Amino acid sequence: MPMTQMEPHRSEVVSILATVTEKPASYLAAARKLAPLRSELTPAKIVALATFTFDLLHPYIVVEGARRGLGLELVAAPFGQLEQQVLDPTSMLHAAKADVVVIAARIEDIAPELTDGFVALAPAEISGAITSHVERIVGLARALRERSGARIIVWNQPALARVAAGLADPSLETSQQLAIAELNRQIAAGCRDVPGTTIFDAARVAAEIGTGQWFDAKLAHLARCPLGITAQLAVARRLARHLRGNLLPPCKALVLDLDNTLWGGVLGEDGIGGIALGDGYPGSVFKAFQRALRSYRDRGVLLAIASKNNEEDVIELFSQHSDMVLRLDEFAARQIHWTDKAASLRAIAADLNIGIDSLAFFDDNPVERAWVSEQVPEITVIDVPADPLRYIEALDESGAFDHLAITAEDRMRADQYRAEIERKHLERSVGSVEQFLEALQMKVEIGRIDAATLPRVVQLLGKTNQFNVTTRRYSEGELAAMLAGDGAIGLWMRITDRYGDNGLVGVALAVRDDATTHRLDSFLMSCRVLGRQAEHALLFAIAKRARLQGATTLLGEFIPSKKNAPAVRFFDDTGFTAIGDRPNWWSFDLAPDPQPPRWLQIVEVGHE
Amino acid sequence: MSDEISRRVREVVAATFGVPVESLTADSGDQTIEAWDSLNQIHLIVALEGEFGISLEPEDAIALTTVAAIEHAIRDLKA
Repeated sequence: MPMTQMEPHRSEVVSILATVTEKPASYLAAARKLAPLRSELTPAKIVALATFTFDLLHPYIVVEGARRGLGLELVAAPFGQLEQQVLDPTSMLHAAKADVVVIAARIEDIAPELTDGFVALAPAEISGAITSHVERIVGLARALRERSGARIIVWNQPALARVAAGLADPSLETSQQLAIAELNRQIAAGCRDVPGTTIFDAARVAAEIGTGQWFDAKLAHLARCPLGITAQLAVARRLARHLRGNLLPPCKALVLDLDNTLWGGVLGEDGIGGIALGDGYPGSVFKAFQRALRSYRDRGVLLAIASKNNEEDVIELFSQHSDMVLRLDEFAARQIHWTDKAASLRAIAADLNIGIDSLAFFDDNPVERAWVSEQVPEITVIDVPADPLRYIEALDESGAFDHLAITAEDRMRADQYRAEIERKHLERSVGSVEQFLEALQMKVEIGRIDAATLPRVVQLLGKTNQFNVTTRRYSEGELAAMLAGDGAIGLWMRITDRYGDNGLVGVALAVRDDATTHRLDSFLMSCRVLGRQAEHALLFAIAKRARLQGATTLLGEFIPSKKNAPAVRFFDDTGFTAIGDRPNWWSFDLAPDPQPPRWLQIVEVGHE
Repeated sequence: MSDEISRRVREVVAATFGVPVESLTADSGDQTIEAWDSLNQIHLIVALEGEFGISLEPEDAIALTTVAAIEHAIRDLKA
């Protein structure tokens, strides 16, 4: 499989999208910054034929498109021009050579007899008015089909902000509400016969947000755009899904993280009994997410696992936890180990014998997501919200698995892929880890343990199981006494990166054995910052202090526990030498002054 | 408090028209910023309403054509 080079511009897209909040101003700013980066995504030109000021939606559509892998350029024809644009070969529509044309025509704008004039229509005239509007819209799509290869998206008609007959509407022989439903049915039926044409369900979007939020009188009159900001955003999101469906094939496999994704908490730290998964909050949230995942599997999406965990712990959890909705054999592939996730995703694609661009990746950890999207830009990385209550929505709205139409093939069951795995030999390719780590802009602060940091250090000593070489637990009193000893060194480490402050996440304790020997009593890091080589910085900091006290050797000891397998390579990786006749003991030569990796900005706090 | 409003107003203006926030003064407006056209005026209104959780009257909204006028209007509404 070809190696993928890191694409700095692609990471720029990711950083811009990370700044977008629900506020309109953040969309406006992001859309501007995304414009020159279109070619980093799947570029596409969209032309809108609308009966209102469609331009106002542009920034929102550009941003929501980028979130779904699309570099959109939008052109709105002058509003109200429908037939002119389609029929005139020199029109802006044809000059633009659109990939997709969106036809957004409201009956409020072009069929007044069906809106304010509705009560004046005799029942027999209603169906004529409907037919005439439907013929106009379907006729537009058909005329466009004959003149352009573009995909066509036709809006249907949402409920009206105002019904002409008021309270009497539902009692009419043909109510206005039902007339609109019939109109939508006929538009859909007509468009089914126009190849490459699909319906944008504006009626559904308006119902989701409510008719009151959909229509905005102020914008209708000031800007000839009847959609309020809530509606503009909702339309942008749904339309971006449609555009993705028109421009990119749906993903085939959903690769899931485990900790804080399929359940709350960290299995390696909290244990089977300690994770959140059950019928009460917050475990119920994860259970509901698992049910939604099962529905994805039912419609033919392959599920897979990419997790940094001990595989035997995970297998035990799946077999023992009664609230797991998904079974382990429902996952078509799994990569559960401590190497990097980009490699895991490549292995999963190879196992399943599908293209890497057919994978979607769902992980609660923004650092893992950034790593994967930079290493393997072809993968659809779901923008997972911090709040697990919104996981299902994020997955649905990503559009990663949307089909514009359902075929029998789409319903194909997932099981058939499983056998493939057994035959495949896993190949792991290593990407440009260093470039990624540099882009993380990590700042590592290291300082002496003092009264202020003692409680957090004791807490970390007490609960860190995985990257912990000795798993020694101390009380505050015990640790304070130990650090008061002659030559003892106790350091904490705090890591900040571009995604925020990870807090105090590392502890190293060393004691003096004799005049030239210090011994590492404890060394641990929180598992969420593993894989960044920050442990080098902490080790070298404690080594330097030992050297200043006259030591020439730093001894290290590994005490195996049920859970600290991730720490076993620490000594080898950082330059210790195994002591031949003492298993699980290492020695570190303090004469050289090794430098921590260049991507770490080290700040030593409170020099002694 | 007013400095806070001024800062947020200028951030919204900068985002809306694609100009550096440092370049803005109280006098910046439709006469000094090229991108300040009628379409972006609407974007500005929507962005200000979203930023401050307010609803501007149409007459007031279309009169907001300088940074100073916006700051004044927001202070009145927030007072």
